[in-house]
Amino acid sequence: MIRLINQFITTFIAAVFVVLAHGSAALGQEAAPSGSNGSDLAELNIEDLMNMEVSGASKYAQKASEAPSSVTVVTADDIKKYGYRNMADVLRSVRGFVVTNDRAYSYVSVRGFGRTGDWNSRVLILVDGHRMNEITYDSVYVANEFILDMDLVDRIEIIRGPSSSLYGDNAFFAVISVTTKQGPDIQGTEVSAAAGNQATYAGSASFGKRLEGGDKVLLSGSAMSTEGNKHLYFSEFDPANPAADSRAANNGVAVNLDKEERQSAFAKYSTEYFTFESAYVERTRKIPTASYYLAGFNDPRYEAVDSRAFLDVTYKKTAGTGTELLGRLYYDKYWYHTDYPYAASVTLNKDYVWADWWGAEAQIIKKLYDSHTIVVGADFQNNVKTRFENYDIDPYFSYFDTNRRSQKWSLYLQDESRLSPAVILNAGVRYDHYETFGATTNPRAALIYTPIKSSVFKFLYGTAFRAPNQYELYLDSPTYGTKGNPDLNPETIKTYEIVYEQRMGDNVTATFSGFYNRIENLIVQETDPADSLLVFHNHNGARARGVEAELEGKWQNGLRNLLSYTYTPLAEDTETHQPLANSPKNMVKGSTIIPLIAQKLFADLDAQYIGRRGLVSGGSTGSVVLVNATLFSKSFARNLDVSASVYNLLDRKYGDPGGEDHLPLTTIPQDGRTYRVKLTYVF
Amino acid sequence: MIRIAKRIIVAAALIILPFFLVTGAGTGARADDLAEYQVKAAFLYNFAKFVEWPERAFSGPDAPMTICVIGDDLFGPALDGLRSKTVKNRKVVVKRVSGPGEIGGCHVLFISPADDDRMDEILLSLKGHSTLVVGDTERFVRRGGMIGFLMERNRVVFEINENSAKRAGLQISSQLLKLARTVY
Repeated sequence: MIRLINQFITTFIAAVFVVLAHGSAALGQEAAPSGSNGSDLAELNIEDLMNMEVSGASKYAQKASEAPSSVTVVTADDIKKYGYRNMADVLRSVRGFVVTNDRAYSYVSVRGFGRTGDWNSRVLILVDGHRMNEITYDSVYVANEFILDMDLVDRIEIIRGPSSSLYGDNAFFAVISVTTKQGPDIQGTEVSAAAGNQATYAGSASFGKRLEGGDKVLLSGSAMSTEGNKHLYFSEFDPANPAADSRAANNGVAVNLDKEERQSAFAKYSTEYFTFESAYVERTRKIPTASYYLAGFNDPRYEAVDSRAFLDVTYKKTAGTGTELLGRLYYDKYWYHTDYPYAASVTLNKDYVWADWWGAEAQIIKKLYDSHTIVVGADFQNNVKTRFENYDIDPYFSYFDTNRRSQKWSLYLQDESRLSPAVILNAGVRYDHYETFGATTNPRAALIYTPIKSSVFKFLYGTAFRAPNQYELYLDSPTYGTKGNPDLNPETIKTYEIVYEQRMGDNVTATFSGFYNRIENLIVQETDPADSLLVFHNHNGARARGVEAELEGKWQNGLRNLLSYTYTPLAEDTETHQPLANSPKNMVKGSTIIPLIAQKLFADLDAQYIGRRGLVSGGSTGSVVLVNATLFSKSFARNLDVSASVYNLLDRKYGDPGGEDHLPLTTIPQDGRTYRVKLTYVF
Repeated sequence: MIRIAKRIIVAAALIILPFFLVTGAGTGARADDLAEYQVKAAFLYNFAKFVEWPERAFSGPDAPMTICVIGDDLFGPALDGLRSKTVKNRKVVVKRVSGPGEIGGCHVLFISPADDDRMDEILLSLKGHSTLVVGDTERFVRRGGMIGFLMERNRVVFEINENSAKRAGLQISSQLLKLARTVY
């Protein structure tokens, strides 16, 4: 173990030196040309200037260095150049994050904590400020089941740590805030088509424009389908394996059970003060793993359909000096069903959820005396429908059909005060009131110290919660083997973090972070010995401690490098002191964009080393090195962008840890080498 | 253990390799992946060519053309590159100012997005001055600015509020008006 750590430290230091050496070299080369380049540009006429494509990185003046968290930003440019197919690909490249795929859904782990089967209820995803977590299971999706096609994303901010003081429920480990493109970012009609192996096809069409008078419009639709891995082998289901499961069949091969399809649509219209936005997605997937104790393996009827839609109207106005008003009204829907073949060829069990909710938000941001920025806000949400239904079709038998309404509201306050030119104190608190369990109050405090312009220190403390959801509170069905527990309390987390960011020259930034997370009242499903029914209890606690280091280099010529290391030596259950499952101690991530032909052709590589991850049944997965490579050509032909990507270039055979519902499967096999070619044309 | 060590070496090599490759590629690639504000700096200089100032805006025939930035300087060296230029036989002078008290002598003034909420105050202090006010925040020209940058497909374009310019005694050439996305 010590040797392992030693090797990493040596590797990291070596990398630091290489980057620094290169950084200073690049600095030397470019200090002169960038100045003269600027004045050369000035000699161009205005028409030429209007045709120059620029890297939009500075479009946002917001300073991540003054944010009360450790923030990573991924832009539309990164998405194109690295060939990210969905949000899961994006998050895999982010420091401290792991994405686990159980071939039904994808789950995000943050800094040593990740539960396969939690449907991402402990991260909050926002799309243009709109909450994407739904209200029955708190689920939010990141892979193909995510609501947006990646072509619509302008930027993604990954905000680590608890943010319940501002956003309430689910802002537990991280907030992932997605900003979509505006009409003028497309300015015309953009059509894209992608194809890859496993009979994977994807296409999208978008229309965007700034209208006469300044209104902006964006309309988009997209679809994808894949056969997936047509012959997925599971040794646990192979009759030739003496330790095989009793359901073993078909030589352990799930045939044609990895198919997936998605359709999505997006519309946005912005006037001077109002933005109307609507999005929709439906994802259908076969499930090859016979999870949830299915009757038989390799049953083609096992399938899940997830749909999500919302309507959102936002009002934003700057009123006078330093005052900003924000209002939001929304209506959301989530519906899902899964066909569970519970007794092979006899019974099909159908599981349904329908959820409808609407809400309103108001927020005022006010600057006071130049040194204070105050945010005051209030939220109200009305869950008008949370219906769970489950029945066998033949013979018909209903296990449950329940529907409940509930409401919640909240108030919050945040103050950012500049105590001196070098010190910012950011403090906030939010009060959430739930009809279901009562109230919770969550504070956050951040001290941001900038002794010299190139160095930033952040001292962060915060708490967050995840409210017990309808599924955990109320699912009473003795025939199904479950009962509700209306006495559940929210899960809570306390986080302490220190961040140090150091800019080195114009091009290189180093970030170091140390964090400690302590979780209490985790909601865990267990069997009540009194009646043998499954019930949720506030039970375990967990804690995790670790450090992260990251080096980022960006050069004028388009060259970019990123290298990060996350070390999480402690991630354990606080009662049993057992290490948490699915928690790698070591993670190294590196990526680079190399401009082969300036502004035209880019070679992009991203690599991840994920250390061994513990399994729910004990033991662990092996460590794995994943490398993805993309060749991206901008304006390959007039208005045509072309990219070619290889994922898992080294063709590593590996598995992600499964949850308890996957047993006897302990790891879920992942894809080997896959390819994609994508064309994008703008009319 | 040896297998683990081997894997780590492979992993490390794979991750480090790009950084070495880069040393080669970096020297070969030209530095022309443009930053947004490099292009915007070039625009500021070009705008000065297409605007007529009243004579009283300059202290004399040899007085320089002063291009100012208020608030955070996002231009960096690109702005300093304009120092060697001339517009209408006037030398270009670049000034970075921190408050409305220092903007009296500016012929072109760029309001940094960070100072957007002080825009009203800045415009008020420019009353009676012939200053071309440029910015790049949302609805900049509709709030009294004269030229506002917009982004379209990662390209810099602009809109003009001709009335605001006229009120300050500035004459914007029809050539520039034609290129604007919208004229108010």
